Amino acid sequence: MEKLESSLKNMLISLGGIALVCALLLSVVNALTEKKILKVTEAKTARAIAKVLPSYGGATIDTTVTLGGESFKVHKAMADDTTVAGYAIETSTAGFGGPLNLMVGFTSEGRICSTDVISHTETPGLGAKITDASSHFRTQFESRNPAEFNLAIKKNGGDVDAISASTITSQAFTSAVAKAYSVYLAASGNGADAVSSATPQAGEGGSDEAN
Amino acid sequence: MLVLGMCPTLGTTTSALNGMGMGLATLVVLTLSNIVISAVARFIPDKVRIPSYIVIISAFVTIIQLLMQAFLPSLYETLGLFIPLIVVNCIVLGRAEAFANKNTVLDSACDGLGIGLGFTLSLTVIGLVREILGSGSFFGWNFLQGDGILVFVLAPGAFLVLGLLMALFNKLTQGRA
Repeated sequence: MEKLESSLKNMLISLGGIALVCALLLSVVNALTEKKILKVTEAKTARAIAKVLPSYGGATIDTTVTLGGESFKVHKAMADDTTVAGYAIETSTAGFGGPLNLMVGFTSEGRICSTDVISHTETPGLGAKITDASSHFRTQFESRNPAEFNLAIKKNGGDVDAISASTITSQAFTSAVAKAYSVYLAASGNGADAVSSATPQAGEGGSDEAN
Repeated sequence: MLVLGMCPTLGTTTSALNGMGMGLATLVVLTLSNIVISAVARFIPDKVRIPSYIVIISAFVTIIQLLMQAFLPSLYETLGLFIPLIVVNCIVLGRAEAFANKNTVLDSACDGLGIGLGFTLSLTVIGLVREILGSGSFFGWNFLQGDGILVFVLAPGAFLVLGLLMALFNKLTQGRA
């Protein structure tokens, strides 16, 4: 069985043909899986929202808030057509090992409902302890109002107990929650006059609501 | 002893299940690419054979990645970056170059399955040892409260376990080679 000669024509035809067939195959698979992947991603977001706003089931209104050059996804849980029951806000910061993505739930009065780690790359056994939702580090945020609870770890003069040996991760988690709070203030608007005195950063980042 | 495909071996074997998932993904890609490459090898001129193989392999890897993202999202999240890296796994290209392009489709399929199973087995064993020592669990089932010896879940532990297993393997096969 003789191999094809390496002439320019043969090379172009064979490599081009292979690339074409592969591209066709990929577009078919992509078309088949696209919807399913989208559904999986949506289900994941919905699960995270359900975790951080446990008392509000049902659909959410999704908006995007831009604050300080970053855009954040805000999921509003509606009590009825006009009243917002709570906000689930996606934030991210740089953790110790890479990006740290959180979902933070706020009640309509601005109390933190609960937090959920969407994805992280922290050190297993040390920083990765932030994923343990029943730990003191995670529960200490629950039902706190950041207006009277300084969102910084104690070493940096705040009120949050850090995880021992994971100061950077703890600080990253805490500042992500603080970021979510500024987004909450921008998104809710009504919370601004009640609590803005304690959080000067809320007024600084020009906020505009899109979508 | 030939040591190929170290990047996923060290990177993904933090638990037995992760190691097994990575091994199986590689097995599927390896078998499929071996089959296709052995079937089309004689239509590919020698000078463009490596790019052709890479295109075929990466197509299969992308298909696996999309399917895994759709149907096994939790595994996809843990393996994440390592799935696209199967493209540059030397085992896959190595078998295409050393075996599949000279042999029949059936032989190449068997070769892919065999090499893939061996790779899966070694990744699972490394993952299992690291999981037992590092997190005190067995295929995700915790038999120990609290943490294990953390270093085994971290990167240095991968080298330690790999080295020890290779030493053991050499000891067992001594005198036979």
